[in-house]
Amino acid sequence: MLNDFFKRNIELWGIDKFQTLQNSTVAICGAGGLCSNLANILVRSGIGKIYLIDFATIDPPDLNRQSLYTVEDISKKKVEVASEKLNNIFKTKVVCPIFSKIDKNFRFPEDTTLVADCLDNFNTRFSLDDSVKKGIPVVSGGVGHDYGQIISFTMGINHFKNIFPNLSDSNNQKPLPVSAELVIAVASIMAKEIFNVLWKQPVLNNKFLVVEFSDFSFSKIEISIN
Amino acid sequence: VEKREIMVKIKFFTTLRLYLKIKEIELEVSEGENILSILKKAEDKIEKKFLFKLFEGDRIIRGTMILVNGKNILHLMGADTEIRDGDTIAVFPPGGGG
Repeated sequence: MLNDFFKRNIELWGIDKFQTLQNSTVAICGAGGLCSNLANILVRSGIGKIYLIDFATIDPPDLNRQSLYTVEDISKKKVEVASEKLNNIFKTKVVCPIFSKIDKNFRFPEDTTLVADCLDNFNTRFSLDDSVKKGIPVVSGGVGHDYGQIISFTMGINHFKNIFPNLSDSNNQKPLPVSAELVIAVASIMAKEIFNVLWKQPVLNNKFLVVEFSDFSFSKIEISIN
Repeated sequence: VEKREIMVKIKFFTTLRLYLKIKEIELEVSEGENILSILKKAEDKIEKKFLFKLFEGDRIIRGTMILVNGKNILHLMGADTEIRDGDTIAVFPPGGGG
């Protein structure tokens, strides 16, 4: 029965690649706009286990792009609402909520095979340099205004402070303007790169894909490792 | 010894691309010229000021990424980073939201 749901994926990828996804555990950091759309794709693609990690509750301005949430969910914990809705897709329990802040002392569950960065600030991203084990692959996405970027790397070979050396969040930073169409597009590209990484065929390894929605241009910028 | 002329490419991304309405330019500069001086020449060629969005004096404004062949100039010599023939300079502020 379960494999019937994934019949079209298996036709596309072959059974071996599908089984690689079934045997993988993806930890998604941040349960906002990127995560809502990314987790939806990962569940529907047959990823074996997904951890959702976030400490936030749902606010009205989240609903413009955080596609798992509706008005009835306002004030509820994001990871709990998201997990329930995602697990309802196939009536499975592949998604596990972790209601927690992510700081340098956060420890990812031992069975994590890949970390997806769907965070909304740079300071928390930098804490992943300490909390993600060396050797674990990371797929990172970020959006703002009318553009976003995606990059993948292996923690220890590269790290966030090397990739973004000149960035930090100011204390009184206003939330960035973001819209559904861009967030969904960037989340979709993250999903594809997660599959690529799990299949040992990363396309964006140490390479930014900059997605410009203003003129629909996609550019790759290779990042040197120090 | 007279310095030879070299070609460099500057690519603009995201908010800077929108502001300048230009994706990339090629410039002829002197070999060994530093990045700040080259970006000033780019300003002259484009005829629109943009350095104020990237630098305060010779200090790079927080949130800006200036890459030379993929290396952030903060990991090189900052504003004094020297540029070689065929180098590509990429300028963009990454999006941090999710």
